[in-house]
Amino acid sequence: MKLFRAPAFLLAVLAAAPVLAQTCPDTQKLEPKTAQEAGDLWSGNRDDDCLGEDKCKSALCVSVGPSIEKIKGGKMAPTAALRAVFQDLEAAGKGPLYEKLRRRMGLYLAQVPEGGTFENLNGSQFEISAAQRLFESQPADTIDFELYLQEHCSTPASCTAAWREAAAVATQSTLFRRIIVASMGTGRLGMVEYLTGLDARWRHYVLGPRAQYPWELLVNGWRYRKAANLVEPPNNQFIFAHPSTALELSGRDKGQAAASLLLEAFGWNSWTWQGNETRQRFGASAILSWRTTTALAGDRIFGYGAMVHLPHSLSIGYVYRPTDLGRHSLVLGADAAKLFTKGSDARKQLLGGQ
Amino acid sequence: MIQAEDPDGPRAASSSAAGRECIEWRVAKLHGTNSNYFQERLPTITQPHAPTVEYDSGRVFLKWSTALAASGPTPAYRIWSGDWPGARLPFHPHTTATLSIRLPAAGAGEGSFRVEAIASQAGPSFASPIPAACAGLHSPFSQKPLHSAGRLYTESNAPTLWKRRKEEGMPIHRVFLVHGMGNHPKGWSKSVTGLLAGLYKQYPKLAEKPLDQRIRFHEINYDDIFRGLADNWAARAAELRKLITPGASPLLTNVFDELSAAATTDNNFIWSHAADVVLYRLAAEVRMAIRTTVAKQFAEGINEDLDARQTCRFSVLAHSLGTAVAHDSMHALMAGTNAVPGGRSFSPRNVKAVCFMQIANVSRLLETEPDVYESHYRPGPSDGNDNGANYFFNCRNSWDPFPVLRPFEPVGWPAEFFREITVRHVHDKNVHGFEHYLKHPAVHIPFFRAATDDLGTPRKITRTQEDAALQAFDERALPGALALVGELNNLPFAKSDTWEKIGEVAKWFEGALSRV
Repeated sequence: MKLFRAPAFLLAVLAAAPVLAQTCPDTQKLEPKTAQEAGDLWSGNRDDDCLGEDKCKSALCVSVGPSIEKIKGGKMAPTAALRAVFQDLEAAGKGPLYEKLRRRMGLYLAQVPEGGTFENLNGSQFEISAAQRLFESQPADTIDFELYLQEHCSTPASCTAAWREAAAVATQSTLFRRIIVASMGTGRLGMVEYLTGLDARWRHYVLGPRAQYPWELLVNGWRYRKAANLVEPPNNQFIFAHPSTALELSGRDKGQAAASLLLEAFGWNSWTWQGNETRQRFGASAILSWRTTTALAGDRIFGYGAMVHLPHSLSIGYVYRPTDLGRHSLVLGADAAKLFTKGSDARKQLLGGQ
Repeated sequence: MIQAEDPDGPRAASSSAAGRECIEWRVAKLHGTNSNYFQERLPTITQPHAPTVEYDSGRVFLKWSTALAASGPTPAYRIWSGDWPGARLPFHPHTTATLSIRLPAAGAGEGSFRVEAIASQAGPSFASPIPAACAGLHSPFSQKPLHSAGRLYTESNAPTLWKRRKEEGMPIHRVFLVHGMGNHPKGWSKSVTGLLAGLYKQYPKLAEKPLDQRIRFHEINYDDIFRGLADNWAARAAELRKLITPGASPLLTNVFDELSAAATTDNNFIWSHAADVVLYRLAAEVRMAIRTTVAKQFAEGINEDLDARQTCRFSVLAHSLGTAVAHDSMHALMAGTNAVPGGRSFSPRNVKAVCFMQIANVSRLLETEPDVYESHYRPGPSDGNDNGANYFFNCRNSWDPFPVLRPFEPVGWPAEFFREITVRHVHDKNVHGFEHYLKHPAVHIPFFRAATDDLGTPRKITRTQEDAALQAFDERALPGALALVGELNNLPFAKSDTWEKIGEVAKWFEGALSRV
């Protein structure tokens, strides 16, 4: 019976081996005997997220892991989890790496506000760098994990001890960092949402209905030339040499509208922001106008006047032409013109289908 | 009486020690001096003598005399093997006749050894926090530090104790790709990531794990803003053009004809390339819109990883105009805002890139605000309060004319975290191209190391493999490379030229390429 069971047992172990190989080991049970082995273990465990990352399976990771989920969900205050990691560190031992991490954690915890935000504290200091170091700007506390393992592997016993200390410190530091990160989730999300709205507002301003020509961008951009950080788009702008199409109505045309090329020589426009879009308030421009109908005897193509920009995209103006026929014209901006174009849907809607 | 034009100036500040400290910072920033408030020259460090070297049972034993500190303590020693930076040893009190270290001989290099003391002056230094009295003023980099970069590289030939797992490994490193000028619709990064995937496979240890289990490329898009503007102008101009005859107004006719071409990107260098740069530099509102959209994309990517696993290892790989865009946007994100709670969630105290890699860096050429040397887009210690990344690689091809103008040349950035990479290869006519730069091992190897957590003792691309790749790389692979180099060697522009010349540079470059 024993002989029959032995191969089955071996088969079970072999079958489980790929599964076992896919999970992180208990790093405190590994026993590297040389610097080379320790270095390889370090590299491998780092590469496979076993030192405090989300796949870590050490006792501390297992106990703190669920806390991170609760902190993310707002069901647990992060300070308790931070202190749990710190207490684990205090119980860990007296090696130089423990001492350094203890010192840095203690300084950090002394600043942690009860119920406040961690935003202004330096939580990123607990992240191990790509050069496998911590606390690079603090010469007395800098931890160089790879160098530490190199220097302390003169004997198998010292190598194993050094490895276990390095792995524990890396795990504690990474968990500490992850708790801090989890606690700031709401703030980060708020910032992402703010940026999403700000992006929409800038795009609406730059590409939307009151989009400017290149020369206008130069003029209106002047106020932002020194802006280094995130800023809101404006709620007003200069209008400068802004061409557009318009409709003109004058006595000369006997009630028929004629297309004209309008140039707003200079002016001012303002609006309010509702959500991520603008709502017109008030604006006004000095305008030049070129009518496009065939010149008649005594007629002049060019005229000048003024225009106001009103809510609901209504732009209405007046143009004067020194001509024998139809000196005075009413000008409608393109959007307003749509309302009055015969047969337009907007006009039909306004006049009840007529 | 406080001088109105300089309310933070000497008279206001000199009455206190904090104020004097601030003045020292400002003087050092302006003049790079190594002196205190009273302009006394601070003592400089005395380096140790050349070490004695002994070989013993596969290890190297170095011994050296002590360094003599300057006005501040000596925090560490750096061991150099030839030109290669090596191990960093924390300072020990010199209670013995010599200091020593044993190092593995394999991979310790064939060059002579040197021990260098890393200076720590009492005056302003890169790693020191900005004095409170200078809050709001620029932070100076007062002096060039001693070389102290990288780690001792060792070869790993012994059987490994740790067997690599077959699937999911370390948190995927997110690499933000930021394009330069020109037409870049969504999906533009495929050519870049495809090239990197091919290069990745050339390094066997690296390729033991598939690329997509190590690196996640995150394409940044902002070209739609340029194209949206151009399309808008083109459409309006076409309509307006119908309403006017050349006889009525030749000026308006010309303007509308030019704007009508704005949406054409083929064979239209002015609108497809040059306009991007001019608009970004001159039209601040366009710059704000682009900065915001790119900052939003950075934030979304970083937050996705932090939310999922509370870790985000990320880097930025930017090219040409993208170097200015990446700089401005990342700084804005890291500077944050008071407009919302959590507005500083992405500051360097909370989030830090592994590496900013700037290729054909024109951020200084197109600089507006902030100063490119003093923003958050700079390297420094992993626990620094203000530096947005741990490492910064600045890549330039000697034959690329664009980075020549107002070149990016920081003073006082520590060699430990900043690396200038200059290449001279000619594989394509367009030596300014993104992919062209990445082909060179001197560019893509540091990138792979940064993106695979291998900046300590490199194991995924060993030093031997790196040397072999550099040796094997043919710098002049393009047929006719010599002729092209001859043309590009006659660049009629200088470092002192500013961004207004960029159109001329582009025209000259086009001409040089067409003559070959």
